[in-house]
Amino acid sequence: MAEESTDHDAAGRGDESVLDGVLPLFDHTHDTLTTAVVVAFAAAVGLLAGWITADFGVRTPVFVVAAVGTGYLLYTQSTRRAVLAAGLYSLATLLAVAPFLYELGLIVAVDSPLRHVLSLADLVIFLVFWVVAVVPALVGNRVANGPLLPRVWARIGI
Amino acid sequence: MVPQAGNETYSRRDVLRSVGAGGIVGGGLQFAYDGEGGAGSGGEFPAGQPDRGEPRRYEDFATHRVPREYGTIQAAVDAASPRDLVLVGPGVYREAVTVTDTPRLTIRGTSRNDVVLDGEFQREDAVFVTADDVVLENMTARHYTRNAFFWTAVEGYRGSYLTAHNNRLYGVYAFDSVHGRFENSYASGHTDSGFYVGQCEPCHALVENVRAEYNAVGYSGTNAGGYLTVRDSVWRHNMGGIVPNSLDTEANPPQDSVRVEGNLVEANHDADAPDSAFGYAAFGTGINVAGGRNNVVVDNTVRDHANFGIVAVPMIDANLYEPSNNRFEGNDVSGSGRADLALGEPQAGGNEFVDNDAGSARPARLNGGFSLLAGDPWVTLVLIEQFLQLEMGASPRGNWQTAPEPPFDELEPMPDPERPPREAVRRNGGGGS
Repeated sequence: MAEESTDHDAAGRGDESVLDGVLPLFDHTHDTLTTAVVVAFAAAVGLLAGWITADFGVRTPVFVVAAVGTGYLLYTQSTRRAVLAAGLYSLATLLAVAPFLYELGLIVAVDSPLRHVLSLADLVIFLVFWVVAVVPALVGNRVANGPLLPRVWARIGI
Repeated sequence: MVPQAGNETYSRRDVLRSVGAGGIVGGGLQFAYDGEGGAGSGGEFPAGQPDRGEPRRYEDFATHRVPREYGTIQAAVDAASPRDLVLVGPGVYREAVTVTDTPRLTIRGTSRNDVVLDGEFQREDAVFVTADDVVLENMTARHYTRNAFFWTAVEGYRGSYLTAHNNRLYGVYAFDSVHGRFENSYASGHTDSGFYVGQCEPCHALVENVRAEYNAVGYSGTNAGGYLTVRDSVWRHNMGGIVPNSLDTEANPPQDSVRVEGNLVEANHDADAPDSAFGYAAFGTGINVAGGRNNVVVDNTVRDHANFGIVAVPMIDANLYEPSNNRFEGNDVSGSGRADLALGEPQAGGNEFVDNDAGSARPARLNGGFSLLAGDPWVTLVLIEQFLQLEMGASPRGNWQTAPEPPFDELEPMPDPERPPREAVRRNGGGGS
């Protein structure tokens, strides 16, 4: 994997424009593969965000906002490695948030929500989503910072 | 529910399994396109029961009057011959009636609200029928520890102008029986379903103009289908509304071919409804096809449900039953908490949602058009979680003994209760004259 995919603008413009300040995307460009990774993660995050918010009837706008926002966030990363890590972190975040939205879907629809949530079954739902979320989070951490365990051992002095 | 020899336990609680635990793992990304035709009523038998005319009246019969001639309903039943009429006057009858060897008998109250069979929370069934073509009409049953009106293993049955309330399991109930009809009846306050037709294929049965409220489930039909129609009825304030379902604990799974038509299904998310076995798994759903196939759900009004208005989900018992070839057409669905139309994953394909007036769907564009997902694991997840909560004993529920009593003044009495008895249902070569 290329560690550095950022190139300076070929035109070599030195003056910062207002647009460059608002949209630092123009500070650099990525190669095709990194751009494809950005697009793929943007689409995945958009779809996942739309899926977990569909109970609230906002699937399409959430998809658009999440996809564009994620694309912007990822494209501003300086390296392909950072792009990949941020994309995985985004997916992990959405998966971690999903059980809250799951519960919220029922909470807003019933008269006495506390009778339906806070049960062991709800805890299972949280655990399932969080266990799944840990996977992309760990992979993202590995991509961004290298092997995890040596750092953990070093931190605790082993 | 399976009657078990010996201890005669009739609860399904220990044998029910979740709706679709495999939904999560089975929910692969698929491309689906809702096309025309094919789904629904493609089973061995058609889904709907055609109209077959009014039952014919018996010409040769005797009337046995209670309490004028007999002190108890059971005494009159024991004295009756086939085709006779047991006519019960107003009063509270603290007994459990069995009809085991007198076919074509009619037991009728003279006043629906004033002829009351009372189980006093001690007796099991108000009327238990194992004889063919027995008709129960125009009376109320309450406070029984099992069922109100129960036919099992019969050919020919009818329940008309019946009120069943605050009985522990079922209200108006036919098991392993064919050629039947429930009509103009009411059921509330049961820990299973208000109306139940189970283990029959083909059923040759009709449920119409009934009303079910404050039950775990309004209508439940386990492995029941083929010439079976549920229509023009009201299902409201139960935990779940209309729930055809597949279970291995009854014969002939999966459930196949019921027609659900022209019903009003609303606000089936009552957490105070009594429940013991199944209700909370279907909580907040209007019409819930749980592991069924070849069903036809048309022209119903379904509104105000906490989860899903109309939904098809997989069912797991000893086997996994994926919904397939069900057709949902022309329904008006609104006010659902999660989605008006929903299809869980895994599903076996052929489920069609056509021309429904609905505001939301899971997966997207279920009601027509291109969709990334054929079914949505989220839908199955909802019902699994509720089932887990039920199994863990943590689901909300009310008490069947104290559930709201029926609105008696709204219940239509039988016209002319003194008229001659009629056959259960009209069929070729039937018992009518």
